[in-house]
Amino acid sequence: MKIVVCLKQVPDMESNFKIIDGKSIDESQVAFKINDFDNYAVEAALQLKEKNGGEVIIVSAGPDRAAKDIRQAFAMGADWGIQINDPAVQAGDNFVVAQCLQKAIQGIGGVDLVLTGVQAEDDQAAVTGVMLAELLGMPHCTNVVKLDISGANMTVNRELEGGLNEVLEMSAPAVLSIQSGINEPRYPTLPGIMKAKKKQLDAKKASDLGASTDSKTEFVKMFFPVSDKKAEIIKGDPATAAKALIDKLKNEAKVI
Amino acid sequence: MALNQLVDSRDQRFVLFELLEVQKMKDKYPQYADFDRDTFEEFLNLAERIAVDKIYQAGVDGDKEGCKHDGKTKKVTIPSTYKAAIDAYYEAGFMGVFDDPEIGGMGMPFAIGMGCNEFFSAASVPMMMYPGLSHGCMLLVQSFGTDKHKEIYLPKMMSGEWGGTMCLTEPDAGSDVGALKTKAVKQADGTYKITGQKIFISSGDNDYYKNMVHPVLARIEGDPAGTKGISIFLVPKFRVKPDGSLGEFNDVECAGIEHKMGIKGSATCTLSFGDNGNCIGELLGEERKGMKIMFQMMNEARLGVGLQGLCLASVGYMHAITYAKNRLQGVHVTQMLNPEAKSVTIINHPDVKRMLLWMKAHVEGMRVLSYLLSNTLNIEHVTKDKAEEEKALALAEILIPICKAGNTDKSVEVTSEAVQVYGGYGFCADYPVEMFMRDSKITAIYEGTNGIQSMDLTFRKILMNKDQANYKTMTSLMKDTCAKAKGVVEDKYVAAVEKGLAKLDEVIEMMKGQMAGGKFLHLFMEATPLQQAMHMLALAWAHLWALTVATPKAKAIIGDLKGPEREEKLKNDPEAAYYSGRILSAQFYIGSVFPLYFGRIQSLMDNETAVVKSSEYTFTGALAE
Ligand SMILES: Cc1cc2nc3c(=O)[nH]c(=O)nc-3n(C[C@H](O)[C@H](O)[C@H](O)COP(=O)(O)OP(=O)(O)OC[C@H]3O[C@@H](n4cnc5c(N)ncnc54)[C@H](O)[C@@H]3O)c2cc1C
Repeated sequence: MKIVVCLKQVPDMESNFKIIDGKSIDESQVAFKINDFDNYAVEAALQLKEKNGGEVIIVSAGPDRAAKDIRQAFAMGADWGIQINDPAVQAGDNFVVAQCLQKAIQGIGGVDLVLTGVQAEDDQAAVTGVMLAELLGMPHCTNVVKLDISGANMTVNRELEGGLNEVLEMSAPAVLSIQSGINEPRYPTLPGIMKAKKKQLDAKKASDLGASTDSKTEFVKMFFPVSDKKAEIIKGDPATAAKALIDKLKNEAKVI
Repeated sequence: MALNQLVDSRDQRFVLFELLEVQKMKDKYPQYADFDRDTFEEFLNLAERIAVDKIYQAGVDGDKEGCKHDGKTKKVTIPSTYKAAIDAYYEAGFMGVFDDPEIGGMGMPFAIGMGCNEFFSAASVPMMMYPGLSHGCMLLVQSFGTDKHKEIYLPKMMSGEWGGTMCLTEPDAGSDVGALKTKAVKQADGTYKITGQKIFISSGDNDYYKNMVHPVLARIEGDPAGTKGISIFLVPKFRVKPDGSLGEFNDVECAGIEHKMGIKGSATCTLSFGDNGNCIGELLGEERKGMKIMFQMMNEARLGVGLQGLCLASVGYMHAITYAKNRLQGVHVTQMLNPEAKSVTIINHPDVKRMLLWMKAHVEGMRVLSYLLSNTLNIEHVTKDKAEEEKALALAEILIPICKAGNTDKSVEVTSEAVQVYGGYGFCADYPVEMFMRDSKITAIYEGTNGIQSMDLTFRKILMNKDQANYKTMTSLMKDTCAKAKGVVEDKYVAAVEKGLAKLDEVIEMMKGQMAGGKFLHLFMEATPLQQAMHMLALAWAHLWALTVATPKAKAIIGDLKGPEREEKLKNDPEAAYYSGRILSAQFYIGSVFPLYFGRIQSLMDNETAVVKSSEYTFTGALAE
């Protein structure tokens, strides 16, 4: 099986974020890591490879620093990868990235399965995987929490609200976006880290892939969300406070 | 590298890459050619992740569960939480992190291996004793086993299928190993029948490993008494068939386990060898060379115990910082008269800051010392340059007892201070700091008590060492550091270390005179005070070295900022905060702790003889038995 995992490097959300000119974050204080959801996708791919044979290819759009985390996936066991390292792609939106991923994957050829994370921790857009499926013309399933494959037939559990699962039958090639908790991602190993250094990582620009860098959306401004509502503590004994609360819920918030 | 509850990983990087410059080893020693800073970072980061995610909590829970011994089956069960955690350590390949690639190791520099192990042992000292003792035993097989032993034992020990121990201690042979009674009788096939009892054997029996390999010190029937007559044998729990599979039980039984104040997850076993006359051992190396062989492993073991001391101090200190930043209690000293003043977190109280800075200064100083020692042993191991090898050996020889005894004694104090920072909560088992304090005490006892270490330092490593070569190697390095510090570091800190060095020279000269004059009782009495003084001087030196490197870096980042602007910078820039803090702990040590050294030195020079004059009759009031 030829499996592609699309991996994004994201800032560690515990970093100290500073916004420069309302445009970007100051990276000097930020640590980067593999998007947590993608880590589950890598593990899912490695488990499929262990069961069915084949290879796991990492495709990632990101600047130089992203190579560290692509190699992290190599150290877990992925075989080789493509890094789309192009400032014009970095400046683009999810559509630009999806298009680059599409072209890179088509360039590999013969891919049976494409796995992405459900969303990225940073922008939480949750659209790249879906766009990619559309562009590739492959069937797609989001929020995958269970996956069984035999030959080209797949049984996929998709997580719904309220703890429900939807069970789907699909056939490969397909794009699946993997939900966290589907497995327990392995740690890299020390021999894996050493081997990862020698694995092939091809660098590509949008022009090499024949992909456009025109965004479909317009970036306006980056800012910290301001919370302008304050909590109010209702004073008084429980009976009076409860009354006041009901009154507020009814008349001010109009929720009951 | 992230924030964690175990080790200040930024300070670890400072020691590795800014003081020792381990990243430059690749240019000097060909076996490290493949290892650059990035690779080191990846190894250290992986160790940190596994220690934080897998080991720490399993260690805390394991302390509550403890080990169990079944009187009927004679089997030992270790805490149930340990298995998955130890698995993670082995599966990632950390067992062989600095071992020879020939035996399946990763071949990293020792200091990087130590960096990884610092995370693991800070996460759980008792848990890491299982792979730790196995590692010592594995190296013994590597150095002294036959080809057949190596072929069968090494891969199984590297993977964690089999484990190992060190079997020295007996009821009547503790500090005095030479008094041991375990007996070996040669058989027609060249093997030996072993009979005897060993006590206090860490990991002696357990349900983690499929087989245990015991290196056992014993006396071959007819060999002389004392250490001269000791040989060492490989004694597996289950016999090993020629194809490496397990054979019959080798009559090694666990008669019981100790119930201890600390390291409760580490099974401390009484092992009976050959109760049924059926225990077979194979000789390691030559007959009557047991002590010499064991001594070769001793350096690694003592470095390891010194590291345990550092780790417990570190984890105690890390917990204390977090607690002090969150516990609200009392108003700020400047607001004591203001009835409206709000409570502040206790880290704002000068006395709590003093405790934290005292802990920080000790942890960071001990970190420099431990890593320097491991790097020195590494250089001794890999260099082809005879002069460099001799120098490294001399330095390592003298640093070993200083590091083992000094770090572990301080570990007991630092973990105790961590409990103090927590107040009453620290005394309660809901928080892990009391566990760190309980765990720390054993480090001052095993692997040669600190009293024995101090005698080793005073006699073998200094007074009986030809021309005091070890001592001179160390002090000349210290003098180099002073020379480099001049003009970079404020004069008073350099002067303090220089004065400390001059004073120690006086003490050693005096002791040489006492040695020549046969005043041995006196020297034995002063061994521990000398070791304590030398550990203080070693830390002051480590801090002066750190100051020399950190001062210009801090200046470059912080410049001349003062007052609120400086505070703002420290709040927002972790590098500025790190270097400032590193400088303050060094200044605190040299300026506020190190003056005590001169009192210790004075006491050595004054030759108070009360200890010599006291006898068993002057200690009164206690029961005869
Ligand atoms: C939890 C635990 C784990 C251990 N693990 C192992 C292990 O894996 N393998 C192993 O072989 N052993 C192990 N030991 C044994 C340990 O190494 C010994 O306890 C230690 O060496 C001290 O011996 P002892 O307990 O008999 O004390 P003693 O030798 O009786 O010492 C008691 C005191 O007297 C002092 N003293 C003794 N002799 C002298 C002297 N000549 N001059 C001055 N002072 C002296 C000591 O410093 C100490 O303060 C372990 C012990 C414990 C408690």
